[in-house]
Amino acid sequence: MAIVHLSLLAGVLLIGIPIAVHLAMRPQPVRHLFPALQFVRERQQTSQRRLQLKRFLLLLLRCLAIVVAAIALARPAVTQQQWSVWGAIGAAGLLAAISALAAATAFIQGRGGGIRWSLTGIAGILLALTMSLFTLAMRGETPTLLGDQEAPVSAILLIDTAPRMDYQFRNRSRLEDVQKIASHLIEQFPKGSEVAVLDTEGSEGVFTPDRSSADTILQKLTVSGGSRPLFEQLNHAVKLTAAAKHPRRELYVFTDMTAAAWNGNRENAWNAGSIDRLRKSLNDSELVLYVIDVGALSPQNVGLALPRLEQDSVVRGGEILLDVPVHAVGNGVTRTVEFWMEPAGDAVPQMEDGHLAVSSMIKRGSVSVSPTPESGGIARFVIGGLDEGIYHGEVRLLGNDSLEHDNVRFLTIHVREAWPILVVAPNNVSPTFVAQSLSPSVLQDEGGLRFDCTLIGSRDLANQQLADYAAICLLDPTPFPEQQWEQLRDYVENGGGLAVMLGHNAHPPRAFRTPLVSELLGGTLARQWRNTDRSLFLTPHDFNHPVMLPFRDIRTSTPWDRFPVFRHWSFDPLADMAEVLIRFGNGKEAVVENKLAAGRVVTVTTPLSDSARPIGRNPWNEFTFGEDGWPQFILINEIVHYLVSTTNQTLNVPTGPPATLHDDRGIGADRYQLFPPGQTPYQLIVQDNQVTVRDTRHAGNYRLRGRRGVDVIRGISANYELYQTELTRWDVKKLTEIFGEGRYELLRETQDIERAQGHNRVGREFYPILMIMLAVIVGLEQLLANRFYTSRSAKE
Amino acid sequence: MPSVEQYLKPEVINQIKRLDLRAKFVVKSFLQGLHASPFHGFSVEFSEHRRYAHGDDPAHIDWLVYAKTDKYYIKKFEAETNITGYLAMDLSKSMAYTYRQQLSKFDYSICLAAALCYLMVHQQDPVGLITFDDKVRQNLRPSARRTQIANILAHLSKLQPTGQTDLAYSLTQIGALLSHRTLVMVFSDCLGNIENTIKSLGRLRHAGHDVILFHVLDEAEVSFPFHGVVELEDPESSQILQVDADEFREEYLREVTEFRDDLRRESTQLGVDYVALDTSMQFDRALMEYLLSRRSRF
Repeated sequence: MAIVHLSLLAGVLLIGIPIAVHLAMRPQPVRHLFPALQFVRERQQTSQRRLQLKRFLLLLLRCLAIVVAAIALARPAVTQQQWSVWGAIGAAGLLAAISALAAATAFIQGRGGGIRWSLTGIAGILLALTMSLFTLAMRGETPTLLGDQEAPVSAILLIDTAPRMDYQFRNRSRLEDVQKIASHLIEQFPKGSEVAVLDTEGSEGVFTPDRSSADTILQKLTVSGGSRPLFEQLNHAVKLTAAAKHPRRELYVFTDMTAAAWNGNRENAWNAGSIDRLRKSLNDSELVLYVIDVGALSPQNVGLALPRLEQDSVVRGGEILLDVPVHAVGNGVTRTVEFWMEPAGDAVPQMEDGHLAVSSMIKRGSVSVSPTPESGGIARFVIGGLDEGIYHGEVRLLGNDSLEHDNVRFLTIHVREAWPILVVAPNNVSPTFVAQSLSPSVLQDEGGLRFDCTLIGSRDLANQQLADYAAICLLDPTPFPEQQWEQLRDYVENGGGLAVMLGHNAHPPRAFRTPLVSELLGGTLARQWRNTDRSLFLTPHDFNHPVMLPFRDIRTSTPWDRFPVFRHWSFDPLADMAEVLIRFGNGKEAVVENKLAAGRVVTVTTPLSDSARPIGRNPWNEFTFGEDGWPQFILINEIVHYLVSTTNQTLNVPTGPPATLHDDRGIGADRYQLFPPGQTPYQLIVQDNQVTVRDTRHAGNYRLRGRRGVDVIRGISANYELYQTELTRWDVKKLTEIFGEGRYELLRETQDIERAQGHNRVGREFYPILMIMLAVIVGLEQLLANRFYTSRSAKE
Repeated sequence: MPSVEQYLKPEVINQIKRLDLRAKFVVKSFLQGLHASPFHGFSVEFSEHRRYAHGDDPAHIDWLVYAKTDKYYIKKFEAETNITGYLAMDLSKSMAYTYRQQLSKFDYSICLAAALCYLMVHQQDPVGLITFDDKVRQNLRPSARRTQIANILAHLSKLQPTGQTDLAYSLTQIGALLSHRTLVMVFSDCLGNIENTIKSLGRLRHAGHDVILFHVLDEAEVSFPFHGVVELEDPESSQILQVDADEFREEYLREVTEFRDDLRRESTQLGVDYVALDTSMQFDRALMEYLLSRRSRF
């Protein structure tokens, strides 16, 4: 609660006047001769008591009138949020006063004791309730500056600059509406105010007392693909209040009130913890929060979501599936989606007359999609028949609507040679199963195989240039010299992938228990486990690892039990970094992953190369000769694919975060010229075998051109994330769940904002209510006084 | 031309300053009204016999009437066809009170007594006057001569209500003064101890006297017309009480009503005619009460 004219409260002291008048200048009642006094005498004592009570009531009313008048002139006010609390206090106090009055009346009229004391009790209870509420209100009250409309403020304008804000409504974008409203607000802030303008791109923002410069910052705002959801930026804005120099602090959040604006792409962006933290920081910072809704109440839009490529790279001659979800807000309509791509890979970008000159894209497909707001739609394209190189493409939604940013999506594909895989097998081990699984000979003529296997014996490993291979498979390896293990470790640490499938050749076991091998495999080889019957087999449980993802949807129908395991190795201990991907039925580890620097090692503790009838021993399992061995086929492919993924580049990224391109094999250029979409090219230096594109705020194809004897072409594509273009409105009730009832103002129009500012700055005054109370009290006083002191002349 | 009945109104009779004229106007107005009323012929016809009462000489019993009616009747004598009346006037200070009427209780009582005196003498009834406050002050013996009217009126006009009241004692004294059966007409506001008053009235009745108690209160004492906080002062004791009149009115009226009801009930039980009057009422009610009482005696 705030008092506008605190000094006028001293007027309360004027209650001394009626008290003095009451005591010293009490009007004498009219005296009459009256012989029949004997009829008066008996009940006069009771009447006298009532008279005294009435006089006290009259005095009380007069004092109350002065107190209420003094308080009314002092103009107490509370914040909008506290109004209901003080309203409850006022109501309870009024009821207490009425009850007290009723009790006094009952005493005056000599009502029965039950009524008198009941009313007194009720009045007492209500008075106690009023005092309790008052105490609670005073304790819970945050010190808010009220009363002075013209006191300077520290205002933070947090403006959503996601691409959604370019949505056209009434021939203006949402951002233009924000700029208009915010500019007006800046202009009308009280003299001496300071303003900080923040966007959702992550700008730090500083308070400036110069309103024109704040307005300049405001007018320069544009939508950005680097925009973050409001729930992230709100905390930053609240923290900024630490630098505010004025006690009155106001935060204006300009938003289109879309669900995506507040949540981003996280369904649980607002959990209990984050809400509590935000509420606490809002309370601590004493911010008055205004949420300005500039969004269209019924947006109409059809747009493309992020393109979904099976993978960003494809083997020459291979095919890749491209799915582009199409979403609709409002009324869904049939729209045509086209896929365009450059005719040849590795197009060399260059500037001509200030513009990027690259070969024009050609249309590779077109489909009609009829998305509905409930289920959306999908545009599907198959990309294939491409030679090696970097290809940029676009998915375009034909037709116009109010938001252009989601009508085109960009993609980049790397068409490359098959991954070279080195398969190392001792003489007594057949590499056929693994080699055929990775690179089936029946498909080699058709092209498009992911892996190109090279088969060698163990002895030839020392002669190989390991860096030429994307991954190495050691099938039932025999003990290697220490030097050989060191080479393998270096290879892995540089980003290579190593698959080790242990078997009977791991003998003597101590050769695999050296620190070097243990470091490489992620554990110390312990002992062989034997199982004589067919009860032991792979029993995967976790299907979230990339190796196991293909099995996730068929987990219940994969026939692992048809492929018994009779022997396997175990690790003891297992390194902390190692992760067991699959276990046997006995709980022992079957497939273990170990990460070593930039590379990965996947160890299978039973071989994937044992024949049905090995000479001089029993088989370790029936993986390679059981009927219908497709699970092992998939498992081998996924293990190797996972291992080569370390060198697999992510070429399609969301706008905003930096994107990094690796050159682990050191075959790229040492610097590149970056051609960002619609921007001026600039140089990027390769550091630690990687080049980073830091500014990806703009959606489009990013082209990199370097030289290493010849042109080295690389590229990525950045797209706005769905939350940056999604226009589905949010339920405003969620805001109340987040900020709390009465802790924010949701407003749309400028005059509403100004009214709310007035309420929050001046507070809601009690003046009108107090004046009504004063009138009632004066009326009661007049009524009572008239009954007490009827003039002699009037009666005579 | 104003009706003669208007002279039955206290505010009109107040315009006439001479008490004898007042009495004449009141009685004539009353009688004129009476002739035009269903009571026509009632007031002047007297019985030839009267019932035997204790103390009468049995020799005067009319045996013929006894043979016819099986009841004892005394033969009519000229003197006994008339009733001897005494006007007993309360001189207490409280009788001088009026709040807003033309006549005080005392003036009202004087006027009423004068009228009764006039009426009685005209009917050859002997009438006397006794004044009292805390005791009997004056006693004018009854007479039916016309000069008695002048005597009584002369006395009445000189009376001043100044004393303290002791109605009970005064009534006892009056009873002692009267040797024959007499109609005692008491004019008083009866303020005081009601039990003592009742006892004294009882003694009068036991002595064989007829009693009409004209209980005269001021209109303000009956209606309590005050408002707001007032101080009420007893003119006799000078005691002052402060009350909120508006709050207190209801209780006061209840008290007054109870008092009058008690007085009426007790009087009725004793055979005393109780006439509750206030100074705003017409005189005819009191005169009618006298005639009714007189008729019941013969």
